[in-house]
Amino acid sequence: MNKFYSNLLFSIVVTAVMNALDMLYHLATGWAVHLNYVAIKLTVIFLSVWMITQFIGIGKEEGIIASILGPFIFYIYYVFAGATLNREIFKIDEQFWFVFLHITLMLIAYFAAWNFVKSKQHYVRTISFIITASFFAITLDALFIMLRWRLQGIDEETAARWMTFSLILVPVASYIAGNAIGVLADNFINKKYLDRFAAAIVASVSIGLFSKDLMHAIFAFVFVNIAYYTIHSYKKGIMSKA
Amino acid sequence: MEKRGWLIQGIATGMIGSFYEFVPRKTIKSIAEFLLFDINILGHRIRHNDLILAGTILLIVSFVSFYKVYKLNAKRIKKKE
Repeated sequence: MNKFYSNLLFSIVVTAVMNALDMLYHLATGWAVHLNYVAIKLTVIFLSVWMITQFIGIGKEEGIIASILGPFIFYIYYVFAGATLNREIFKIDEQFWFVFLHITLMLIAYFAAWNFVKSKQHYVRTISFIITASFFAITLDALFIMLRWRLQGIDEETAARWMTFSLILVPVASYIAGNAIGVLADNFINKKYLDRFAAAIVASVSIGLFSKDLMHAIFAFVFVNIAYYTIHSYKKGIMSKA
Repeated sequence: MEKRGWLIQGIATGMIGSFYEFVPRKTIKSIAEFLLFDINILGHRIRHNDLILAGTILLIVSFVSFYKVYKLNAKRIKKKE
Protein backbone atom coordinates (compact mmCIF):
# COMPACT_ATOMS: atom_id res chain seq x y z
CA MET A 1 0.00 0.00 0.00
CA ASN A 2 1.06 3.51 -0.86
CA LYS A 3 2.63 5.34 2.14
CA PHE A 4 0.81 8.57 1.36
CA TYR A 5 -2.58 6.85 1.30
CA SER A 6 -2.10 4.92 4.55
CA ASN A 7 -0.79 8.05 6.32
CA LEU A 8 -3.77 10.01 5.03
CA LEU A 9 -6.24 7.41 6.30
CA PHE A 10 -4.46 7.16 9.67
CA SER A 11 -4.63 10.94 10.09
CA ILE A 12 -8.30 11.06 9.10
CA VAL A 13 -9.10 8.37 11.67
CA VAL A 14 -7.16 10.06 14.52
CA THR A 15 -8.78 13.42 13.72
CA ALA A 16 -12.28 11.97 13.58
CA VAL A 17 -11.90 9.94 16.79
CA MET A 18 -10.54 12.97 18.67
CA ASN A 19 -13.40 15.11 17.44
CA ALA A 20 -16.03 12.54 18.41
CA LEU A 21 -14.63 12.31 21.95
CA ASP A 22 -14.49 16.09 22.15
CA MET A 23 -18.02 16.52 20.80
CA LEU A 24 -19.35 14.08 23.37
CA TYR A 25 -17.64 15.92 26.19
CA HIS A 26 -19.02 19.23 24.93
CA LEU A 27 -22.55 17.97 24.56
CA ALA A 28 -22.52 16.17 27.91
CA THR A 29 -21.37 19.30 29.74
CA GLY A 30 -23.48 21.90 27.92
CA TRP A 31 -20.91 23.48 25.56
CA ALA A 32 -22.04 24.33 22.05
CA VAL A 33 -21.17 22.19 19.02
CA HIS A 34 -21.83 23.56 15.55
CA LEU A 35 -20.67 22.81 12.02
CA ASN A 36 -18.25 25.73 11.54
CA TYR A 37 -16.57 24.97 14.84
CA VAL A 38 -16.22 21.26 13.98
CA ALA A 39 -14.98 22.03 10.45
CA ILE A 40 -12.17 24.28 11.71
CA LYS A 41 -11.19 21.81 14.40
CA LEU A 42 -11.15 18.94 11.90
CA THR A 43 -8.95 20.96 9.52
CA VAL A 44 -6.41 22.06 12.12
CA ILE A 45 -6.14 18.71 13.91
CA PHE A 46 -6.00 16.78 10.62
CA LEU A 47 -3.20 18.94 9.19
CA SER A 48 -1.16 18.63 12.39
CA VAL A 49 -1.46 14.85 12.49
CA TRP A 50 -1.05 14.31 8.75
CA MET A 51 2.01 16.55 8.35
CA ILE A 52 3.81 14.89 11.27
CA THR A 53 2.81 11.41 10.06
CA GLN A 54 3.79 12.06 6.45
CA PHE A 55 7.05 13.97 6.94
CA ILE A 56 8.32 12.57 10.23
CA GLY A 57 6.58 9.29 10.99
CA ILE A 58 4.23 7.36 13.27
CA GLY A 59 5.32 6.51 16.80
CA LYS A 60 5.14 7.36 20.49
CA GLU A 61 7.11 10.60 20.30
CA GLU A 62 5.36 11.70 17.12
CA GLY A 63 1.99 10.91 18.74
CA ILE A 64 2.74 13.05 21.77
CA ILE A 65 4.02 15.96 19.65
CA ALA A 66 0.98 15.79 17.32
CA SER A 67 -1.34 15.63 20.36
CA ILE A 68 0.17 18.82 21.78
CA LEU A 69 0.55 20.70 18.48
CA GLY A 70 -3.01 20.22 17.17
CA PRO A 71 -4.93 21.48 20.25
CA PHE A 72 -2.43 24.27 20.92
CA ILE A 73 -2.63 25.63 17.36
CA PHE A 74 -6.40 25.29 17.50
CA TYR A 75 -6.42 27.36 20.71
CA ILE A 76 -4.34 30.06 19.01
CA TYR A 77 -6.83 30.13 16.12
CA TYR A 78 -9.70 30.53 18.54
CA VAL A 79 -8.06 33.39 20.40
CA PHE A 80 -7.46 35.42 17.23
CA ALA A 81 -10.46 34.52 15.04
CA GLY A 82 -13.72 36.43 15.23
CA ALA A 83 -16.76 34.83 16.86
CA THR A 84 -19.13 32.87 14.60
CA LEU A 85 -21.66 32.26 17.37
CA ASN A 86 -23.12 34.68 19.90
CA ARG A 87 -20.92 34.01 22.94
CA GLU A 88 -23.51 35.47 25.28
CA ILE A 89 -25.88 32.62 24.44
CA PHE A 90 -23.47 29.80 23.62
CA LYS A 91 -20.53 28.54 25.63
CA ILE A 92 -17.51 27.79 23.40
CA ASP A 93 -14.32 26.01 24.42
CA GLU A 94 -12.04 29.03 24.16
CA GLN A 95 -10.65 28.90 27.70
CA PHE A 96 -7.03 27.88 28.08
CA TRP A 97 -7.79 24.79 30.20
CA PHE A 98 -9.53 23.22 27.19
CA VAL A 99 -6.10 22.81 25.60
CA PHE A 100 -5.30 20.18 28.24
CA LEU A 101 -8.60 18.39 27.69
CA HIS A 102 -8.02 18.39 23.92
CA ILE A 103 -4.48 17.07 24.39
CA THR A 104 -5.82 14.21 26.54
CA LEU A 105 -8.48 13.34 23.95
CA MET A 106 -5.90 13.51 21.15
CA LEU A 107 -3.63 11.14 23.06
CA ILE A 108 -6.51 8.68 23.48
CA ALA A 109 -7.38 8.94 19.76
CA TYR A 110 -3.79 8.66 18.51
CA PHE A 111 -2.78 5.78 20.73
CA ALA A 112 -6.03 3.87 20.15
CA ALA A 113 -5.40 4.07 16.39
CA TRP A 114 -1.72 3.22 16.84
CA ASN A 115 -2.20 0.39 19.35
CA PHE A 116 -4.71 -1.32 17.05
CA VAL A 117 -1.80 -1.87 14.68
CA LYS A 118 1.21 -2.10 16.96
CA SER A 119 0.10 -3.68 20.24
CA LYS A 120 1.13 -7.29 20.86
CA GLN A 121 -1.75 -7.92 23.27
CA HIS A 122 -5.01 -9.08 21.75
CA TYR A 123 -7.27 -7.31 24.28
CA VAL A 124 -5.49 -3.98 23.72
CA ARG A 125 -5.95 -4.34 19.96
CA THR A 126 -9.62 -5.24 20.44
CA ILE A 127 -10.38 -2.31 22.76
CA SER A 128 -8.42 0.05 20.50
CA PHE A 129 -10.37 -1.15 17.48
CA ILE A 130 -13.75 -0.68 19.19
CA ILE A 131 -12.81 2.86 20.28
CA THR A 132 -11.40 3.77 16.87
CA ALA A 133 -14.17 2.30 14.71
CA SER A 134 -17.03 3.50 16.94
CA PHE A 135 -15.85 7.06 17.41
CA PHE A 136 -14.88 7.42 13.75
CA ALA A 137 -18.43 6.43 12.78
CA ILE A 138 -19.83 8.80 15.45
CA THR A 139 -18.01 11.76 13.88
CA LEU A 140 -19.35 10.85 10.43
CA ASP A 141 -22.82 10.56 11.95
CA ALA A 142 -22.61 13.93 13.71
CA LEU A 143 -21.39 15.56 10.49
CA PHE A 144 -24.29 13.93 8.64
CA ILE A 145 -26.79 15.37 11.15
CA MET A 146 -25.28 18.87 11.04
CA LEU A 147 -24.83 18.92 7.25
CA ARG A 148 -28.42 17.82 6.76
CA TRP A 149 -29.63 20.73 8.88
CA ARG A 150 -27.39 23.11 6.94
CA LEU A 151 -28.81 21.83 3.62
CA GLN A 152 -32.33 22.24 5.00
CA GLY A 153 -31.50 25.91 5.61
CA ILE A 154 -31.42 25.76 9.43
CA ASP A 155 -29.35 28.66 10.76
CA GLU A 156 -26.25 28.09 12.89
CA GLU A 157 -27.69 29.19 16.22
CA THR A 158 -30.78 26.97 15.88
CA ALA A 159 -28.58 24.04 14.82
CA ALA A 160 -26.29 24.61 17.82
CA ARG A 161 -29.38 24.59 20.08
CA TRP A 162 -30.69 21.34 18.53
CA MET A 163 -27.34 19.56 18.80
CA THR A 164 -27.71 18.03 22.25
CA PHE A 165 -26.32 15.07 24.14
CA SER A 166 -29.65 13.20 24.01
CA LEU A 167 -29.64 13.52 20.20
CA ILE A 168 -26.21 11.93 19.83
CA LEU A 169 -26.72 9.31 22.57
CA VAL A 170 -28.54 6.81 20.31
CA PRO A 171 -25.85 6.85 17.57
CA VAL A 172 -23.11 6.57 20.21
CA ALA A 173 -24.69 3.52 21.86
CA SER A 174 -25.55 1.98 18.47
CA TYR A 175 -22.05 2.29 17.00
CA ILE A 176 -20.33 1.01 20.15
CA ALA A 177 -22.75 -1.96 20.40
CA GLY A 178 -22.44 -2.64 16.65
CA ASN A 179 -18.65 -2.65 16.72
CA ALA A 180 -18.55 -4.82 19.85
CA ILE A 181 -20.79 -7.36 18.11
CA GLY A 182 -18.60 -7.11 15.01
CA VAL A 183 -15.55 -7.97 17.11
CA LEU A 184 -17.38 -10.92 18.69
CA ALA A 185 -18.43 -12.16 15.24
CA ASP A 186 -14.82 -11.89 14.10
CA ASN A 187 -13.50 -13.77 17.14
CA PHE A 188 -16.04 -16.60 17.19
CA ILE A 189 -17.12 -17.11 13.57
CA ASN A 190 -14.20 -15.53 11.71
CA LYS A 191 -15.71 -15.29 8.23
CA LYS A 192 -14.54 -12.63 5.83
CA TYR A 193 -16.67 -9.45 5.95
CA LEU A 194 -19.07 -10.96 8.54
CA ASP A 195 -17.71 -8.68 11.28
CA ARG A 196 -18.33 -5.45 9.38
CA PHE A 197 -21.69 -6.67 8.13
CA ALA A 198 -22.83 -7.58 11.67
CA ALA A 199 -21.56 -4.25 13.05
CA ALA A 200 -23.25 -2.25 10.29
CA ILE A 201 -26.57 -4.11 10.61
CA VAL A 202 -26.71 -3.71 14.42
CA ALA A 203 -25.85 0.02 14.28
CA SER A 204 -28.18 0.68 11.37
CA VAL A 205 -31.20 -1.20 12.80
CA SER A 206 -30.72 0.32 16.23
CA ILE A 207 -30.51 3.88 14.84
CA GLY A 208 -33.47 3.20 12.53
CA LEU A 209 -35.62 1.88 15.38
CA PHE A 210 -34.84 4.63 17.87
CA SER A 211 -34.76 7.63 15.53
CA LYS A 212 -37.45 6.33 13.11
CA ASP A 213 -35.38 7.86 10.31
CA LEU A 214 -34.72 5.52 7.38
CA MET A 215 -32.15 7.82 5.74
CA HIS A 216 -30.17 8.01 8.99
CA ALA A 217 -30.23 4.20 9.27
CA ILE A 218 -28.95 3.78 5.69
CA PHE A 219 -26.15 6.25 6.32
CA ALA A 220 -25.27 4.48 9.59
CA PHE A 221 -24.75 1.27 7.60
CA VAL A 222 -22.45 3.14 5.21
CA PHE A 223 -20.53 4.88 8.03
CA VAL A 224 -19.68 1.58 9.76
CA ASN A 225 -18.38 0.19 6.47
CA ILE A 226 -16.33 3.33 5.82
CA ALA A 227 -14.86 3.02 9.34
CA TYR A 228 -13.94 -0.65 8.81
CA TYR A 229 -12.44 0.00 5.38
CA THR A 230 -10.39 3.00 6.56
CA ILE A 231 -9.04 1.34 9.70
CA HIS A 232 -8.09 -1.91 7.99
CA SER A 233 -6.52 -0.03 5.06
CA TYR A 234 -4.21 2.11 7.21
CA LYS A 235 -3.35 -0.98 9.26
CA LYS A 236 -2.28 -2.77 6.08
CA GLY A 237 -0.22 0.23 5.03
CA ILE A 238 1.57 0.58 8.38
CA MET A 239 2.21 -3.18 8.59
CA SER A 240 3.70 -3.25 5.11
CA LYS A 241 6.04 -0.36 6.01
CA ALA A 242 7.31 -2.13 9.16
CA MET B 1 14.28 18.04 1.01
CA GLU B 2 17.41 18.53 3.10
CA LYS B 3 17.86 20.17 6.50
CA ARG B 4 18.50 23.59 5.01
CA GLY B 5 15.32 23.44 2.94
CA TRP B 6 13.23 22.48 5.96
CA LEU B 7 14.79 25.30 7.97
CA ILE B 8 14.07 27.91 5.28
CA GLN B 9 10.53 26.60 4.92
CA GLY B 10 10.03 26.74 8.71
CA ILE B 11 11.25 30.32 8.96
CA ALA B 12 9.30 31.56 5.91
CA THR B 13 5.99 29.92 6.85
CA GLY B 14 6.48 30.92 10.49
CA MET B 15 6.92 34.57 9.56
CA ILE B 16 4.02 34.76 7.11
CA GLY B 17 1.80 32.65 9.38
CA SER B 18 2.55 34.79 12.45
CA PHE B 19 1.88 37.95 10.43
CA TYR B 20 -1.65 36.85 9.49
CA GLU B 21 -2.33 35.20 12.84
CA PHE B 22 -1.18 37.86 15.29
CA VAL B 23 -1.16 41.20 13.47
CA PRO B 24 -4.53 43.05 13.74
CA ARG B 25 -6.51 43.65 10.53
CA LYS B 26 -6.17 47.42 10.91
CA THR B 27 -2.37 47.20 11.02
CA ILE B 28 -2.27 44.92 7.95
CA LYS B 29 -4.52 47.41 6.12
CA SER B 30 -2.23 50.28 7.05
CA ILE B 31 0.80 48.41 5.64
CA ALA B 32 -0.84 47.55 2.31
CA GLU B 33 -4.50 46.99 1.55
CA PHE B 34 -3.87 44.21 -0.98
CA LEU B 35 -2.44 42.05 1.84
CA LEU B 36 -6.03 41.58 3.08
CA PHE B 37 -7.06 39.78 -0.15
CA ASP B 38 -10.41 41.53 -0.03
CA ILE B 39 -11.75 39.68 -3.08
CA ASN B 40 -14.43 37.15 -4.06
CA ILE B 41 -13.46 33.60 -4.98
CA LEU B 42 -16.31 31.54 -6.48
CA GLY B 43 -18.83 33.76 -4.72
CA HIS B 44 -17.08 33.53 -1.35
CA ARG B 45 -15.62 36.73 0.07
CA ILE B 46 -12.28 36.31 1.83
CA ARG B 47 -12.94 37.32 5.45
CA HIS B 48 -10.45 38.00 8.22
CA ASN B 49 -11.18 34.58 9.75
CA ASP B 50 -10.09 32.94 6.46
CA LEU B 51 -6.78 34.80 6.64
CA ILE B 52 -6.34 33.67 10.23
CA LEU B 53 -7.05 30.08 9.19
CA ALA B 54 -4.42 30.39 6.44
CA GLY B 55 -2.02 31.80 9.05
CA THR B 56 -2.81 28.86 11.35
CA ILE B 57 -2.07 26.37 8.57
CA LEU B 58 1.24 28.12 7.85
CA LEU B 59 2.12 27.94 11.55
CA ILE B 60 1.49 24.16 11.47
CA VAL B 61 3.78 23.86 8.42
CA SER B 62 6.39 25.93 10.23
CA PHE B 63 6.26 23.87 13.41
CA VAL B 64 6.48 20.58 11.52
CA SER B 65 9.45 21.92 9.52
CA PHE B 66 11.33 22.80 12.72
CA TYR B 67 10.45 19.42 14.19
CA LYS B 68 11.84 17.78 11.04
CA VAL B 69 15.08 19.80 11.45
CA TYR B 70 15.31 18.59 15.05
CA LYS B 71 14.78 14.97 13.94
CA LEU B 72 17.41 15.26 11.19
CA ASN B 73 19.87 16.72 13.72
CA ALA B 74 19.16 13.95 16.20
CA LYS B 75 19.66 11.35 13.47
CA ARG B 76 22.99 12.88 12.47
CA ILE B 77 24.25 12.95 16.07
CA LYS B 78 23.18 9.31 16.54
CA LYS B 79 25.04 8.34 13.36
CA LYS B 80 28.23 10.06 14.57
CA GLU B 81 28.09 8.14 17.83
